[in-house]
Amino acid sequence: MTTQLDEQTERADAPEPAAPARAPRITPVEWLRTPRPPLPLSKPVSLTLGAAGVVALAIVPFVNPSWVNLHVALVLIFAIVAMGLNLLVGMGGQVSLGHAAFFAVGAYTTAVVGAAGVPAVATLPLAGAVAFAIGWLFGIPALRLQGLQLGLVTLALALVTPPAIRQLDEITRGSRGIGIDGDAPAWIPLDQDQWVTLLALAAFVLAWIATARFARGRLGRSFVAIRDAELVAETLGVAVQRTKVRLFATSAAYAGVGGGLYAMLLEFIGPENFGLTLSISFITMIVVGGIATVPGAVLGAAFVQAVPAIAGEIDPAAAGFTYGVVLLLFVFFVPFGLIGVIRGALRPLVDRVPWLRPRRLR
Amino acid sequence: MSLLDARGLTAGYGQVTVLHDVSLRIEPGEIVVVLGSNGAGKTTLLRALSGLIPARGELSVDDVSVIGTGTHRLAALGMAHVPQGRGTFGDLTVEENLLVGAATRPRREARTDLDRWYARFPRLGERRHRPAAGLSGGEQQMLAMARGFMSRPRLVLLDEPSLGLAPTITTELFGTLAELHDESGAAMLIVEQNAELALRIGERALLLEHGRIVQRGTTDEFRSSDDIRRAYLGV
Amino acid sequence: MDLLLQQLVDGVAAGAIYGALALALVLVYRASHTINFAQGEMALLGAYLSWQFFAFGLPLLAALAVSVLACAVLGMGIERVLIRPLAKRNQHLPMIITTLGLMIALNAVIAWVWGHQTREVPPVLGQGAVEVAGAALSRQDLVIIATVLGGAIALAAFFRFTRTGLFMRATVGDPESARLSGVRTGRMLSVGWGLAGGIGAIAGTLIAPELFLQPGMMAPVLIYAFAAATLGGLDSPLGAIVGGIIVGLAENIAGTYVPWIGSEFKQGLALAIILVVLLLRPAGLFGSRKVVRV
Repeated sequence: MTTQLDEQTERADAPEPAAPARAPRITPVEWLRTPRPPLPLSKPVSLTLGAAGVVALAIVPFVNPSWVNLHVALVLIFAIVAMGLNLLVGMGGQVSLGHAAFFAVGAYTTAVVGAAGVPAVATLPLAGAVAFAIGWLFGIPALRLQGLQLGLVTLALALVTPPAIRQLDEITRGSRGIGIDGDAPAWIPLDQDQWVTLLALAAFVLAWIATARFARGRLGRSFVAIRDAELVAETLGVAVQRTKVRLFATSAAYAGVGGGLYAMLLEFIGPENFGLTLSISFITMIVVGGIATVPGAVLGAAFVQAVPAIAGEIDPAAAGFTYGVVLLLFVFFVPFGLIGVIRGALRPLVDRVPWLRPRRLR
Repeated sequence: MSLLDARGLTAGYGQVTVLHDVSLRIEPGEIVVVLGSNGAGKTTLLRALSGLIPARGELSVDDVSVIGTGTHRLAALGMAHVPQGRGTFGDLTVEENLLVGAATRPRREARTDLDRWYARFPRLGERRHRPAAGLSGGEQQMLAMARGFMSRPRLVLLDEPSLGLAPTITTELFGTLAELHDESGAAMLIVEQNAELALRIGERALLLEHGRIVQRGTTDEFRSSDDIRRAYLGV
Repeated sequence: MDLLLQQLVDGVAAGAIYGALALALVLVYRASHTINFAQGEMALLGAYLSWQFFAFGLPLLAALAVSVLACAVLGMGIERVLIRPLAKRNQHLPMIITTLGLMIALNAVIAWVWGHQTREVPPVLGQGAVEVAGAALSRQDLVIIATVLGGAIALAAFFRFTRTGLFMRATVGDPESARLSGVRTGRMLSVGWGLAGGIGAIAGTLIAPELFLQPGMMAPVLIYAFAAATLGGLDSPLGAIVGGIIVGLAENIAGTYVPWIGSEFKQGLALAIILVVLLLRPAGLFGSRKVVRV
């Protein structure tokens, strides 16, 4: 059973079964709704593409004004959170509508520990760890629930986050907000925005590698087994409950690191940074990007960063409206997200250019 | 004019086709028995006939095409379907179950029919205000049948009515079915594992294998066929 | 002692609203087996529509009637257009995302149309309070309690004594059997959503005079309604009302007597109630076991 599941998830570069005689014409909506496997790129090609992307992003902070860096850094930070959510939703088949809470935990960890004199960059692992721990504690009761109920509980968590921050004002300084020193250490000749953008890029690459290893490792396979057939997984000896909690906590840790970087980037945070809208924008990212893919996480993060900012120029309310309508449109018409669209659009190219594919598929 | 006429009916679940090109007619008032092993597509046939699953092919009631028509409309045309596992509403009382059965009829008529059913099944009358979930298996089946007949149907589809019942209760059940048939004049399409009893009250029979009708005939022909006797009558 | 009594009275009044909104959630859950996260915003829309038509010069009750009707139609439309295609395919995550999308879009539309300044919805029977055994009960609270109790009884009678009510219960119990009996199950689901929309509009309009009508008004109420619906059992209309009152009482008493909770963090209590109930008694006080398996 497990092997079967593995094959399904790891068929990334397996040949597609001979294309069945397609219906002569499909409507654009049907085209959008078609599930698509990842593009069969050869390892050198995909590594080159990835490396080129990272190098390009690493150059960005040196050639752009700081407001551009701000956007780029936010996209990277959100992409980290989206990768974590993807782990949960894509691999675990569970939903969290409350990841803003863990994002806030990370941000406040960085802020509070940083205020105690620790360099902000050193607080990032701690931000992840604290979010992991709190995710674990929250997960122990919450993950005995499934689907809808988990959605309910995590949405409640999202709603409670800003009041909780205000309530804990001895630590968080409540509504007054708290400042963070996000500057680079004195011996590094970088501006704050350049420094944080590069840090976010580094964290993003690490998260990417971790996610990929995770998905292929034993733990990743247990997650998929649980998602597809909890009972079967249990009889096969997967400790379902503990695995779920670990997955949830790991996902929270991604959000925590993202939150820490976010605090460093903004240098000032308050309860209203972590409202329901943030949680919903996290969900929007993975819905728009396409669930359970790393490029999808980046696309989703870019979307969430760009579109409401543009819509917000028209009217502040337009941003929320855009989120809502985009969620509906994607659920109904683009269920596999932008990544599905890109795969569909590039597939003919990859099919036509043999050297893009691994040798055995040429 | 046939009451029900299906031609080339093909149906299944998702990508899997279970029923292939099935044709059958049911004339007013007759009892047709469907035999077949587990997984032959008997339940699927009934579900396709009452529109619970989408089907391709032709299906007409009184020579009017009803393919793709909603299940509730078929009920209004005089089809009743007592599903496998009985499909009683456990949270509703016995009386409420019966009233739901009369959904297609005027309220007052439904009320008067209630008394007839309580007279026929006194056990249901005694428990009319109790939730159906508390009834025994046999009582549940009585309730399911009564609910089906509450719509005064012209055709009743019965899916394994004897499933899970003790032999004596099964015998009683088929006796009741025969009586109901005589009284109401409704046609019946009965899917049944207990072929012996079903063939005894039916007039025609069909044998379904792998989703296709492989044999048709009168019930007498079926009962005298050696193959059928070996495979389905346990002789 | 008087303080406690006052808290009890306030708790029942607040709880009645939570119960009403929870009732709307329960009706939707029974119809479509999902939670309508947009229910709070639909109630908010109801409050704004009441305010708007009142501002146009309609009497308050007429304005409320228009608003209830509009929200009922909106609920039915949402069920028909957005929810049913997903429910047919049994897709839970997309349904959650859909109602979430509706929640945020509706809120944005409301903020867009009516802006962020607070509007004043007048209380139904005017200002002023009534003395009840040493506790002051505002007239509006009295209206709220009476309306919710009266509405709950009317709804129970509807389910118990009318054919449509019976068919709705049958549809919830076993949709396939109901369809086979000739019940138009699709219409029953729409009616469920419509009722939920109307009830939400009433709850929103009644609470608006006490909370100040602005786009963020319903978010805290929604979380208590979640708690109430969970506590009562997600598929039990009676449970929703009882759960609402218990949550209202707990919120007021804990907010007053447990200093750490205070007024800011009362919402945390709702989260705690949800968690504890789901863990210890997932079916809630009155829910059926089936809920647990979803």
